[in-house]
Amino acid sequence: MNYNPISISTALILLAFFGLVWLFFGWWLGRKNKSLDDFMLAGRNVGLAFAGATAMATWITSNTTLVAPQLTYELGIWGMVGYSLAALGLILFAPMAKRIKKLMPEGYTCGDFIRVRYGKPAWIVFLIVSFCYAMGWLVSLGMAGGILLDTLSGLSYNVGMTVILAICVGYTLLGGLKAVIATDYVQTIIIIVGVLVIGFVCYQTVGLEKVYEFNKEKHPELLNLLFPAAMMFLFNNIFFGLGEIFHSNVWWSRALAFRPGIGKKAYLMSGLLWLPIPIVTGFIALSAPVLGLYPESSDMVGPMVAANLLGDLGAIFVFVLVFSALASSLDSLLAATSDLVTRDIYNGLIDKTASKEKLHKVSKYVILGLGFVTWLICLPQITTLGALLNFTGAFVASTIWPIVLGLYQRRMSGDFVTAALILGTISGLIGYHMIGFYVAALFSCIVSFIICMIGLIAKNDNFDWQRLKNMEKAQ
Amino acid sequence: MTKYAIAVFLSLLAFSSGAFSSDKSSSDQCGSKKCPLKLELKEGKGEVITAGHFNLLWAENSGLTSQESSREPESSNSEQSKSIQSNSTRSNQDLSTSPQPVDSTVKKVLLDHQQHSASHLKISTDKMFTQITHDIEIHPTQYRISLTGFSNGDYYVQLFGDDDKEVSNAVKVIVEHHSMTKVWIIFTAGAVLFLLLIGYMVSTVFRHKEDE
Repeated sequence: MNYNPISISTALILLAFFGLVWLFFGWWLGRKNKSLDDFMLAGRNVGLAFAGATAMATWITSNTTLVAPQLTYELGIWGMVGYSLAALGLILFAPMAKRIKKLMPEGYTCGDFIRVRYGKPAWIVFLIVSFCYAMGWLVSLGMAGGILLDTLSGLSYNVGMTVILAICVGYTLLGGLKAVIATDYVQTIIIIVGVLVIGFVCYQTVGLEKVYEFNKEKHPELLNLLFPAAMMFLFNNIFFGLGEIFHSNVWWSRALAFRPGIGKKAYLMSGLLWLPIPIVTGFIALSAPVLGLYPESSDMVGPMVAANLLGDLGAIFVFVLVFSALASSLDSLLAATSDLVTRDIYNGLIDKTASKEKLHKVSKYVILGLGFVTWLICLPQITTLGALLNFTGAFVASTIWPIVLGLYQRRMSGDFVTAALILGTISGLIGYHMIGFYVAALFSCIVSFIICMIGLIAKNDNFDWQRLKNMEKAQ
Repeated sequence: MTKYAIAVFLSLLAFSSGAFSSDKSSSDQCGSKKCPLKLELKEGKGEVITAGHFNLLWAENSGLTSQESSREPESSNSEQSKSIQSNSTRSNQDLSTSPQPVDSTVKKVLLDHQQHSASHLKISTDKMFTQITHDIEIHPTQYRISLTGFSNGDYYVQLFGDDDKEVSNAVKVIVEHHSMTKVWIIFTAGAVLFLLLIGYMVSTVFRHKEDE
């Protein structure tokens, strides 16, 4: 490592301390869970403060604290702005959250919606898309844990990644969504304060002028508004963010868990509060070359600069901050993916008559299994966080139009949605390999949009919204 | 049962720590001697860089003893005057100078790398390294670097030691950004699709009355 401001023993003590705190918190909140609704959807009764905090904390993830600086470091100004505009996902999802709660008050997952609204073929394709995304995100979070500890302490990537994964699996298992939402609240406060402090110190220490002058001379493309790859990335990242939120059960389960009338306000508030955060973390990355800091891997740049600026004690602060961001997303994703696997795959395809008690048990095994599979995939550290996340962009961006049109247009038909999901994803993957990670989501969304438009013109499904209220079982 | 599970877990962990390290050889010469380090472009030899961002990695050349290719831990202690390095080597010192040395296997699992002889990475626009554009400090335990923001052109990169003598082969990096025609087509397509989505959201989604 080229910058290890905290010793391995300090890192291990911090890990043990935070691990125990989160695990205790999970157990304490989870002991009152009586039913599947309690475990999966926190009793469907989450208020505005917790709702806003959980939406924001989940969206401030390793993506914001590690990938936003990475993409700014690689793609300059447009990388920073493009990343920040991913807030549009939360803002545009706000009215949809209200509609989701209204349309399917008894629903559990986004898979429930796709199955009833578009039929079995679209549902199966959607589950594959959603699962690929969830695994990509889970793996990126596990990797981020390893990278964080590696950057700050020199602790082996594998050890750090393993410990962080184990802690998050542990408290999600103990507390369910209630623990996830409550820890998110605490984590949000830590994250906002931390990012603001680091941004302020960076501005005071380095300053805008130095950043501009140095990068203009040594890394001119970072400041170039006609930087080719970055221009392509701008809209790509917007669609990636929209796809992530519109389709993912992380956000649907929250929409269903919030009290009626809370979802829209919570998502709007968290989106607007999140918007400036990638700008701050991005600016930190642009300061790296000025400070003579060139990371081993571009996804290490954020914590590396922050730790350098804040010194030894500050590095501990950075550790707590990024660990909180990671944990807040990792637990949410574990809980939401487990819901999707339990409800849609196990209850929908394997055991259709399973009781709620049995599903409750199964969902715990699924969390454990997901944690183990994530750990296995994380071990080789095959790519950078940004590249891995944007790979999943090819999958999720194909879901934007099917979800939006499915919620508001009776005409939209399942056959065309199935085609849009498949062909959109394939186009995105082709773009990813032929041009770069910065076009995957864009290509996927364009193709999916064209097929959806053809579908709207060619066929009228005349869907009855009442079917969503009744939550029909799979045939 | 539990101890077997833990043994399997630790074996997997130890294996994965070293499973992906490679033992590469090189015939590159640094002066009259074989270079102690082999420098490579991670994206692949001859690969054209289209986003101005690339990664370099280096490893000790096979056939050299550890003393020839690596720094002794003690020697690194004398170089602690530089502010960045003084902080960054603390964790290594903790392990290397403690009264009871940590077992090497445990150390290998906990720490990523041992120390090497490079202290600078230089980037030049010519083969002879007369036009140095970047001179970057390298930490003795660093084996990779991520570089960014380069404009079109050919660049030469090489690692140097404390005495400013080369300690690795030179690598040529070709930066050639995507054509602006392609970029404008993709950018415009993205902008149009974005406006269509925003238009639909504003006209339908945000104005939708749930009671209807």
